[in-house]
Amino acid sequence: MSDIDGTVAPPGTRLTPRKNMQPMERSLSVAAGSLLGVLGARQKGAAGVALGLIGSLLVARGATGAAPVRRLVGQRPDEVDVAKAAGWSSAALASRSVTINADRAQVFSRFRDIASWPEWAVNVEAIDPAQGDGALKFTTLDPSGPIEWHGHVTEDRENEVLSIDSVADSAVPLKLRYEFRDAPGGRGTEIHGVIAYQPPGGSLGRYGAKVTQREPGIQMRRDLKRFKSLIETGEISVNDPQGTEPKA
Amino acid sequence: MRAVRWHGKKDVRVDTVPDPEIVNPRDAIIKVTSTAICGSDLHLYDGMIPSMQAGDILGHEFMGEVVEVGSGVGNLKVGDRVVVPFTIACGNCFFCEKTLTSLCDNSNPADNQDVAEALMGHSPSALFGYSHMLGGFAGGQAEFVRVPFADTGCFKVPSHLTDDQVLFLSDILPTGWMGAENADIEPGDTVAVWGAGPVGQFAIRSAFLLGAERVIAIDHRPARLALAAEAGAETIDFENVDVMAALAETTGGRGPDRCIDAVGMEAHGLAIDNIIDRGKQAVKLGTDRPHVLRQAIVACRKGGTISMPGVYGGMLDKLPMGAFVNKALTLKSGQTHVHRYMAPLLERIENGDIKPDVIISHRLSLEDAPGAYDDFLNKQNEFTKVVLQP
Repeated sequence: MSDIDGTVAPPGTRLTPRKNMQPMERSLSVAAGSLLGVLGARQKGAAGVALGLIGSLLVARGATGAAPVRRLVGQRPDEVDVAKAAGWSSAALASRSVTINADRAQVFSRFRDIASWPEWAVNVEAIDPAQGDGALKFTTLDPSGPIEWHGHVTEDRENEVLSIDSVADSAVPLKLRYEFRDAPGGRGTEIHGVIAYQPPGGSLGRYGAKVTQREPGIQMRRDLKRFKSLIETGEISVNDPQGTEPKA
Repeated sequence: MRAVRWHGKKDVRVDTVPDPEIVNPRDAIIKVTSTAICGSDLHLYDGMIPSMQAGDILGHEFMGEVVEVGSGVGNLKVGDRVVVPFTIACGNCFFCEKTLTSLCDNSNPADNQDVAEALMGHSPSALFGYSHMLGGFAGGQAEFVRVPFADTGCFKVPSHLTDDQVLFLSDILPTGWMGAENADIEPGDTVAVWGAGPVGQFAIRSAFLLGAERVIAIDHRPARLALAAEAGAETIDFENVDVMAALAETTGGRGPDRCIDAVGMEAHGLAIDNIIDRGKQAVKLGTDRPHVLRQAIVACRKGGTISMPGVYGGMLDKLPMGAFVNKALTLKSGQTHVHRYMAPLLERIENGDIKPDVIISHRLSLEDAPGAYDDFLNKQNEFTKVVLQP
């Protein structure tokens, strides 16, 4: 690999290398592009120009070995790794971090109280930790309504790490990991959350979920902010009720 | 209760809506006694600020009497007379601890922060009655208003001062003051202030108090320039005078040491760049008309400071960054950290240093709001500042 990775790349931020095509794909792309170019040269008018343009793009793609569209919408390299390790068909991975103006022990002990998550996690209706051996029963809100699924704590290091995985064959295949660190210069505590999940409907389903704001990465960002607000101010800021008419 | 609501561009109505209620422990409900229309409300009226929704209650300059307090508010009681800062601040986060209250991490609800983050990278504090990107909170042009984080957000004022004297502590007086403070004025400095509206008026007065030798006000409304002259400012009417040449010549070729842009995104006038910006706004290719900022950068003396209390909303282009770099200028801005300035400015009102009520041109009823918005926009020579009483 010719790209230098750099030292800062939280999960989900690593991009597919710019040259992301295999040798065979490159040859096919050049061949298909050349064919379209020849066909385009025999056509007259706009159709010929269009064929020539598409052909030359395919030739350029094959010659350089870079497919930018696939790089933008496809899985990123660490998502491929996560999917492989978990045995999922595909994975979506997101990092969300927040800085809380409070000390680490206070932040962790409140966060470790998993049964109280519904106070700040909007789509979590209930978590029942009374299953023994770190087993947890979640009731969460899906676009289709409330669903129940089981998970378990896989790593629990006081003031440092809390990890939760869903059990095998769960309705919601996901892995959560929260790391707790001191922020530099007495700025409080950083929580670094990572969520990996198997998106229903693959990559397309994931973008659909983003549009409806039900995407787990977006939810995690908002939930961490609500948690921060609860710790720092003792309450969670809300703007309703006000007179605004509901959107049609 | 009755409340002034935004229904769309140039469509403001007074409607009957449900009274606000205590939602969170640190809330208070205020019965509004005086509220004002701000120049920045005109950006909403003109439909320039994204993420407004039909039915939003407007108003971020207001004061009144506490009628209900939440269980978490220990420093207020029913009957207290208070002025409320337009920025909502929790008082606990990193930024509030540094008194940078317009940057509060927690007042803008998590869902509303998304839009702000997408546009700006980070979300500033929530504001009253100023779009859903900035909180979606009901504003104070109403009979009652819910004040979140009321224990940090309600500033008690003494009974011997009138509403007119203290109302502007909510926004424009601290905004003008911070505009002057951000200009880093040194003794002997000449300060140019673009825009002689309410914020400009207070920036002019603050600049003198902070040690400016000369203040030059630039506007095209004779009444506003006259008000600036009353404060001791020299004046330039940009309709009749070449601003750039006048600023250079009157300062011995140095240029003004400090420039304050109290105009922001909707500059007036027929300068070529402003006409082009108007065209771009009309076809949605541009968000702001930064004519004043461009002019200030070129006019400012080498090594000077530009302070920008004027509001900009989006993506600006054709800024003379070459001049900015080569002249080693400093640019400072920000929504006002109102909480920080209320106590010291109250002292200046009490000892007579600043008389905020001189800028009030009209005192009207809340029911007159629709006409008042229209007049404040279209008859700026007569309508300097409108105060509404519910």
